Amino acid sequence: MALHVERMNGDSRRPPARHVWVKRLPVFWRAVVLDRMACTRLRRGTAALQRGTVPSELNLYPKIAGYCVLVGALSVCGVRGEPLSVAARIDGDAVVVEVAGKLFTQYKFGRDQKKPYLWPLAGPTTGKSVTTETSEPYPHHNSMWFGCDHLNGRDYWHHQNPNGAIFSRGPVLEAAKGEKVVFSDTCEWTPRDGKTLASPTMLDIRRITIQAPDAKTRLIDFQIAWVPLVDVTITKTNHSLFALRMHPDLSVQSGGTMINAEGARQQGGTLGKPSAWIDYHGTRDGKTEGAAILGHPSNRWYPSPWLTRDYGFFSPTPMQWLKRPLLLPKGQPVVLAYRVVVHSGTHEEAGIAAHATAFAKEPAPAAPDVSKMLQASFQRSVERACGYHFGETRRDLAQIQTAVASASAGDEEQRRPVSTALAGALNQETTTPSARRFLCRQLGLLGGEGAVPALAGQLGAEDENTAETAVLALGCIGTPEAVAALEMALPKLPARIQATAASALGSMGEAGVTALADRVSGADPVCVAGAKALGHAGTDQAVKVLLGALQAAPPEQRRLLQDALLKTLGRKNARVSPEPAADACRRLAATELGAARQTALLAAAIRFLPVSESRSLLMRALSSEDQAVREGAVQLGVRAADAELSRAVCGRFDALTETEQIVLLQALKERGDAAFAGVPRQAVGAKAAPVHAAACSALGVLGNSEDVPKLLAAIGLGDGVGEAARRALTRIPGAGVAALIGDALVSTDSANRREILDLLIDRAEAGSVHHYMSVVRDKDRRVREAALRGVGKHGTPAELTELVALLNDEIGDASFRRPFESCTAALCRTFADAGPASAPCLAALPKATVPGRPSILRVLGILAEAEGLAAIVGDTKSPDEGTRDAAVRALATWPDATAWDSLLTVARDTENLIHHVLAVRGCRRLLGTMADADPEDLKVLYDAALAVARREDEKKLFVFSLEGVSIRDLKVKSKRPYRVRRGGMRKGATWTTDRKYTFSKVPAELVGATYIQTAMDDKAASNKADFLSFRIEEPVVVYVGFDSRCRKLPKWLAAWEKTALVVREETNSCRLPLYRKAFPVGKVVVGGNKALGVGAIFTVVVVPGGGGQ
Amino acid sequence: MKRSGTEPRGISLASATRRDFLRASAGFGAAAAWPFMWTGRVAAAVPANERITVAAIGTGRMGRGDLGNMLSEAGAQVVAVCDVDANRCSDARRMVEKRYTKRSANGEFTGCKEYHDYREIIARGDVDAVLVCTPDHWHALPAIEAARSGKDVFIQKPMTYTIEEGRVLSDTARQYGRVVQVGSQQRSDQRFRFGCELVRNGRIGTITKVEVGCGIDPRTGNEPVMPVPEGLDYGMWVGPAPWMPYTEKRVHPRKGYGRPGWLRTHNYCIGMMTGWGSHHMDIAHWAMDFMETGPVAIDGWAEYADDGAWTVHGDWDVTYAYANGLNIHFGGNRRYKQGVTFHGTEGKVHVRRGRLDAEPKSLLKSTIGPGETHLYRTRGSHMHNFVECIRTRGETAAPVENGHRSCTVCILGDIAARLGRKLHWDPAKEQFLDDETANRMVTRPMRAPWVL
Repeated sequence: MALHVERMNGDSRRPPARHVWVKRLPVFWRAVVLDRMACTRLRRGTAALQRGTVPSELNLYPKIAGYCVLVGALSVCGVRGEPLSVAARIDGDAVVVEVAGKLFTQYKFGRDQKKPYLWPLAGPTTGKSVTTETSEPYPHHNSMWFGCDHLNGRDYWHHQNPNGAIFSRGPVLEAAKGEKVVFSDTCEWTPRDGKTLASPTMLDIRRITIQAPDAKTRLIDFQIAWVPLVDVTITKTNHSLFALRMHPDLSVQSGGTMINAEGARQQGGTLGKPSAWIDYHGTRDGKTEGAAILGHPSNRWYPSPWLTRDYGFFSPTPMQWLKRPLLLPKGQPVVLAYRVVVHSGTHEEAGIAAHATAFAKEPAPAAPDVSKMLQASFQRSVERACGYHFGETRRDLAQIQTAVASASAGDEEQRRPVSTALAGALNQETTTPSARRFLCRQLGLLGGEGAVPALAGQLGAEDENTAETAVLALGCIGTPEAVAALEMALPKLPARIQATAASALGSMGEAGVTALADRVSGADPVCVAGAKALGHAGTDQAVKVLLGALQAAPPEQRRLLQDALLKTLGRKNARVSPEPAADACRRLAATELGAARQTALLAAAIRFLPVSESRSLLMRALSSEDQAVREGAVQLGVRAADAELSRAVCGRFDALTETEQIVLLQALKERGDAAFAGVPRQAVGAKAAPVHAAACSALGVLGNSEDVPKLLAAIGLGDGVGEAARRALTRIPGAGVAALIGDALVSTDSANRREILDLLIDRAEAGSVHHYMSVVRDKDRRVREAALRGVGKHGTPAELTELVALLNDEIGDASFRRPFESCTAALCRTFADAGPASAPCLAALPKATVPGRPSILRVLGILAEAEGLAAIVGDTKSPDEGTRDAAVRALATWPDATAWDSLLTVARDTENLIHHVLAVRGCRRLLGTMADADPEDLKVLYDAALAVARREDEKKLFVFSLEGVSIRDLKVKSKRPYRVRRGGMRKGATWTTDRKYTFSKVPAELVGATYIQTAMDDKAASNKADFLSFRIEEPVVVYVGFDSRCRKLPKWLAAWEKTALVVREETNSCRLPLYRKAFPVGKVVVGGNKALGVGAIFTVVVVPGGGGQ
Repeated sequence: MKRSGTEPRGISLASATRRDFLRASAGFGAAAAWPFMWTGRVAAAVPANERITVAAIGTGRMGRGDLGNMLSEAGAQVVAVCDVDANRCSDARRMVEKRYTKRSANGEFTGCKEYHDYREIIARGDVDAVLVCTPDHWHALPAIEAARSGKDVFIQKPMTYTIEEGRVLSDTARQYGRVVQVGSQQRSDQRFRFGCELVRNGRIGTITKVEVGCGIDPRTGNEPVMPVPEGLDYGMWVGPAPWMPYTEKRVHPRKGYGRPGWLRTHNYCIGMMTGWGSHHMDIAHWAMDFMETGPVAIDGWAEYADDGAWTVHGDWDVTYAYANGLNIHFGGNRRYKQGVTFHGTEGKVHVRRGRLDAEPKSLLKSTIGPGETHLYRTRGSHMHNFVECIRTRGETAAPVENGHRSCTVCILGDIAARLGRKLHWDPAKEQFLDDETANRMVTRPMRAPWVL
């Protein structure tokens, strides 16, 4: 039953036309066609019935419907062994394949897909697909497909992960009807990031053959040549190669069967087992159908292990069992062939084993000629690129660029095909100017024999920009042939392009220079360009040409030529030999030069002339009338490689102006040669402060311990001298330096003492500690503090012992002692190896003196270790008032809850009002740190504190309410955690679920309220109006706090009332001004947190009341 | 001189106050004291006729920022602005006039001239220094010509568009004794300096690898040719680069100073590799003391959009191998953490704008002692350092040869990625070994009348 009438009316979206057309058909054909149409309607009708709606058209055709069922039944009962006709056509983004006029499958290749796939695979009996196009939770299981995950780190399998895609170049029908249809497609495996597509990593060429050998069998041959365009690595993955996903109704989970060639069944028996084939079938509506995948023996990995799933997935792939990553070398194709048998009945009824035997006898698919294939594809791109206009798609240009880059790695043999193709394109008359310019640039990059004639051909192009691009490209190539081509064309070029050509010649080596030799003397643009370009050439020949031109040139052209000459001489990598260079320097020295050029000449002279000569030039420059020349000479002289020149400049130090002296000292410092330390040493006493300062600064690099006294003497001076000396002293190396500076500590007055201490600390030398210790009891507070800072940083256990002993002495009052105490604590921490840091203090405590004991207690308080707490608690009852006071204060600032009970005791028992207040405040503070505790437990703590509070305002601090609003059904459009803290809002409570950010200030109205902990990682995540919702059983007022740095608040907040209330956050010092809205019982909806200005999130607080409207 | 880039260089006088200056002037005569005695904060401390005269070439998005910084310098006076876009140029002039209201009032400022061709500024003998803040393909020429005419140069990063241009600029500046400050201001940021000092002084042991991560540019759609807008000298804008028709997306926005499209067009810019690379790779080089050398091998990959108006690379991953065996990995910040990460045998240092992190954390509190390597310490801002060095003729925080090498290493990455193969580089000769195509990409011939 050949049924290709459908093709006569390709547009199936126009049913009325079809009706007219059907009427014209002979009766028999009409019946068959109507059969198809009705079947389509039937399918729609069935679906509609399931939805509960019946399309009216079905009611209109009851007879036809009945008739078609009959015909349909007849057609499936065809005799086995008689092949059915198959037809294929391209319809939009699909190849539609029909068997006996009925849709069998479609190859879908749309560019919006992750990968092309075939769906449906219509079962021969039911016409329903044996596979599913997509399903949850694996929506990427698209019926029948070929893909791969973990391919050079990219995913060509899951469309949820968009970093790669397999793009079809568009299928080609090879055989569109008959016993079989054949079509092929080339696909590009393209990495992508967002919208950015990169060059494909792989290509595949797939050839799909479909036949229906009998009414119960359909065969799909899927051959694929998979070609790596770069080296490809695949790491272990269970998502790769060829796969089928059965319809859920046929899956093992729905009672189906999966069986392999060895007879092993289901996932348990087949997973990971190598086998020649697997068949998957099941029964749906009483009819058994299924599909088998047969591997071809020529396949790499045959017989492949299988990844199988009882829910309906099966795929022959070795990638899950790779021992090491699989490398597919660039250009070596992997050729694979599979046959899918879609069949009625079980695997036995369908004779899958026999099918496999037959398939194995079929010849292996030939590997494609990759280079030929790429060449053909490249040729197509070149042809298309010829029509390129600037601003249009660059896809073809990009392919050419890739080809040029890769061909340029090889020899002439590899360049030739590319350059021939590009040259051919240039020769076509129809090629656009935009395309020509592009092709010229590519040829310039590629080079090779073919490029030069092709580019030369463009020199006469009508479009001036094209001709110029060709000139630039020839300049790029730079071979003698290119020079010859340019030189020949030069006189015929438009004037401006001639100048471009002249400058290109300058970068084309010796041949280019020769070509320019006659084109530098003159005032026209070509000569100007030529002269400038010669400056760039940097060869002997260029020097010679320029010198010759310079001698003959009229005065107005000399500057240009001098510049060019100086440029050539000044090139770091110049290929100029010493003699011509020296000669050029001498000649230039004999001419009048401007200030900047004199400096340039001196630089060249120092490089190329013998020292005796350059020295006299240097001297001449040093005595120049021009200040810039003198300064340049000082710099160049000092920096010269030959120390003799540097010495010559330094020898004239006294004759220099102050500015020049400074430049000299600066340059000496940069030179960093200690042999020249004499100069700054001599200058260090200079009357002019800036010179003095520069000398000090230079000594910091060049000097040694000898210079310390002079620098120390400068420390107190103003005008930046002291600062320079101080910095120099922190840098001068040597062990003796610290000792010298330290000795000065005692002798100097206290104003300098602190500076000296600071710089000793900056030097960070452990050996200086005894110097710090020598002044820890200095009468100047700032000196003491600086010294103790140093001890705290660099002290040793010996200093620790000394400090503890000092604390026991009569050293002064509490304010005098405080820096000693913090320094002791710092050292205790530094030297706490395994045991508690407090150990030295605890050891000293029993023998502590009356003035020392409070100090030691304070150190224990700073260290705040459990070991020290007992001692402190004990001393809260000490008979000595100072000790008791120190103990209570240490306890009141104790950072954690271990002090809670003792604080309560002190608050209750003490008769000293100050101690009572301190203890109460301590309790309040500790409650703040415990704000995250369970509200029930907190209540107990608050009540305990309330009991010891004496005054009314104290009692207010400890009123705790557990009456936070109960909220339920919190729903947030976020994957991150949000948590309800009933009654938890108070100072110290945690703001966020994913950071330890706490509230540092909460308005009284909101203390004890219920709030929602939000997720900081959600910052600026959403601007949805229904981002967060929950239900309440009493009317509430909801407060939302946005970071004060947010400039533009979300729209949904417009309906909220701004309040004067603010919540503050501690870690980042955020202010969260609050907005308020009342809600009645029911659902509360709060919008998203996205606001311009700062990526901060909000907070949500719920308090009872407000009535709600 | 291998020492460039190590401390200490600037004379430490930034703390001198206006009062100090006046005192010094009284004691030694104003002429003797002129070089040092002000900070950027103390306006009017410098007599008008002793101010450095500055011209701004390029007054677009970055140019306006740099111009603003220069206008804050009491020791400098902006006398001219130049841009090929007449609108932008007059905007800049107005900006100068507004900031100099006080100086106008007391007669110290008599006006700022507008130019549309930088060569007229080069020709002026009364300009001491120029700011070159043009698009990347227009960096080298004005800077080289300015240096040759005896002007000092502040040049936006990346220093040049091609490696060859950088070589010539560096040579010229050195030869003509010019002060050059490259706009890689991370050199003047104490976090970066301290991070590099930790690395230099072996605080994290031997460095095993360095990772550098930068942002990635998106791609765009195509855009047809458009008529050149009024006020823009498009021929001059294209300048030495290959000619292309005008479209707004590839040049700069007509309105406002948003991010211009030329940053993403390969004819004018290499892309983020040089855009951010010349900040972060510069820091990597600074810390590793590679400032006057470069890698010996480059193995790179980058994505190039095959469509759309923007033609620079997208995401990338380049590995540089250095002669001492170290590898620097350079890529988009999806691969490597934004900023520079130094991995050492004994710890790790990570530094980026506004953040310095180290493992162990104690390193952050350590001090760089005497005898250790101290890197260049900038007093005040990066721009202030430039003005200060113009006076002392000392080396700047970001000197030209360093800028050239930092820019080179970034460009090498793009060349290797474009050619898709491993390249070998000779940092002394600044040529690739055995790769003529790669060597062709070291330079780019220019359209007349422009010559390097």
